Amino acid sequence: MRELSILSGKGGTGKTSVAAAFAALAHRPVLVDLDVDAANLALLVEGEPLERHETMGGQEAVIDPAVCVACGACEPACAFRAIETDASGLARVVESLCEGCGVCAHVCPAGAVRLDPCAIGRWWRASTPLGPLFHAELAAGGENSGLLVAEVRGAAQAAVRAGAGDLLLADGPPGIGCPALSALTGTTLAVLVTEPTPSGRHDLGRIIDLCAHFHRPAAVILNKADLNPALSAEIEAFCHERGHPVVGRLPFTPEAMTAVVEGRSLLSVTDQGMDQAVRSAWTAVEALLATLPES
Amino acid sequence: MIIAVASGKGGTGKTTVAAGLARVWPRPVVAVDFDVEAPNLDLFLNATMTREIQATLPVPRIDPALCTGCGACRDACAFNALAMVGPVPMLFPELCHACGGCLLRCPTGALVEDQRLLGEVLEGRTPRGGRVFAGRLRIGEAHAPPLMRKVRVALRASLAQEPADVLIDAPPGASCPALEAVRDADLVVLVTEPTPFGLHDLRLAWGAMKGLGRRMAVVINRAGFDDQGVRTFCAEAGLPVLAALPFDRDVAEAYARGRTLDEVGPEHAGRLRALAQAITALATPSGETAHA
Repeated sequence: MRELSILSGKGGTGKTSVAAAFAALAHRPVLVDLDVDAANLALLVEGEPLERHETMGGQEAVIDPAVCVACGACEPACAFRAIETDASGLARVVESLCEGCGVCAHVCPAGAVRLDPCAIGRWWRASTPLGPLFHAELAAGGENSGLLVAEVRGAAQAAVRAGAGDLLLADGPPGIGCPALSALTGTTLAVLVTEPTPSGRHDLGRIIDLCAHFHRPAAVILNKADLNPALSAEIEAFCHERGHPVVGRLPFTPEAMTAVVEGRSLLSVTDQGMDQAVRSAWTAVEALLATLPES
Repeated sequence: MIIAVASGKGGTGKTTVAAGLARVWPRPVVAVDFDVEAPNLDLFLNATMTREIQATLPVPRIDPALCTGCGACRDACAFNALAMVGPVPMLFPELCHACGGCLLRCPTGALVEDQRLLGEVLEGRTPRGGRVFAGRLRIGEAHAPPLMRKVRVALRASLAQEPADVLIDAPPGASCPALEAVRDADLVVLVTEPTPFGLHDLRLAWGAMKGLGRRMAVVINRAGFDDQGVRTFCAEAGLPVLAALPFDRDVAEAYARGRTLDEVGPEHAGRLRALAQAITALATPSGETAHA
């Protein structure tokens, strides 16, 4: 199976716009949105939801105020500062900060702490004109996003193995932490979308280091390349030095944002030659993918 | 006063707003970059980061001479970071959340504290002398919040010496790093853009953060497109819209050259100053008056 993962380090460089355009150009793709914090691919590639799954995992502490003896033992024991006490000393768990370790339950002399299983989030399988789409939404509270990434990615990989498509095309999360790690491990090729800004340049270096750490091949797309030609040249030289091909150079155009507002793909944007630039990037990515061993 | 600049979607302009506000803030202010996965605030404030301290997380190490192989530590670990391999436990350090639960449960004291490198806590100053704090997550480290807590410790020590307002540049998203960044804020400023992505992710971030009980408000960046959807949502959610910052090529080019919004032109600087005023007014607890 071949898997293409679109990542960036810095957010908002154009991952989802590139992913949606590539989805229209790829041969029989299975699509998956691995940015479970803020999944947007389904807004550009609309479809019919076919299945919905709840993902449970981990636990969270709940303190029964009727049993709490206000001894104050749990608050300092919590490594996540997730326990607050009120004026009378009664303890309360801040749900969104609790990581479910259970230390409070262990130190509570009164047995006031209960550990409830919690919902990590939910994910959907949808049918779209471009192929099957898997996407997820993290439960409010936001714990364990890496686990939800692994689950929705696993479901999409299983679909490719079952013959639902020829390529897994993943729209990844920003950053280099747990969701990005979960999205990157074992992928065939990472496509890193960056922009010629000081932050785009800096964060590209971070995500390239992460790809090297996991021995993953990576290619780069420079979005808004004409915004700062000098910095674009510097980024190209840096990629060359690190051995990562720059497979696409997309222009800056406000029409790209208009397309997002209207739910259209970058392939519908002709201003500054955007459509041709995206097609040529895809051709290069496809050629590169063909040279890489299946994962 | 602690102000956190956050967003659901990445790239909506958190750093643009945070750096711009830091430059026009009417009172002494410390800028804090809590996006430890992709820290960029220092680049736009031209800060020189002069101190770099390695931050570590206490994780267990097993002393095989004392371990009786009872398995209490494995049973205690909610994150499956400990497994019994034959008679002894084995630690998978990347899964460890450093809750300390295993150390509390080991009956023979066979678990001792070891350290895992999280990354670095960075401290520096802008050319005008403003303090800047940041964190830089180690490549391969999965958990951002523990490093953010280390940055906060350094920040608090500095504030104790020399009090100031705090402006936080938060990481994107709606999961633990974003929530950790805003947890102490007097006001969370959510930066969005008038696109379906911006609105969708604003709704998610607001939904995740409202459980923290922080006051929240919205800044619409890249205004100029139809923003009725965002404004309708804000009205329904009771979120005041504090500013609409226009989108044009000049702004994008200035950002690409590392300039802050106030440097683009006087009208942009004026909008930032008005935003700073609106924020301080909203974040000041009633009964206190913001000194100008």
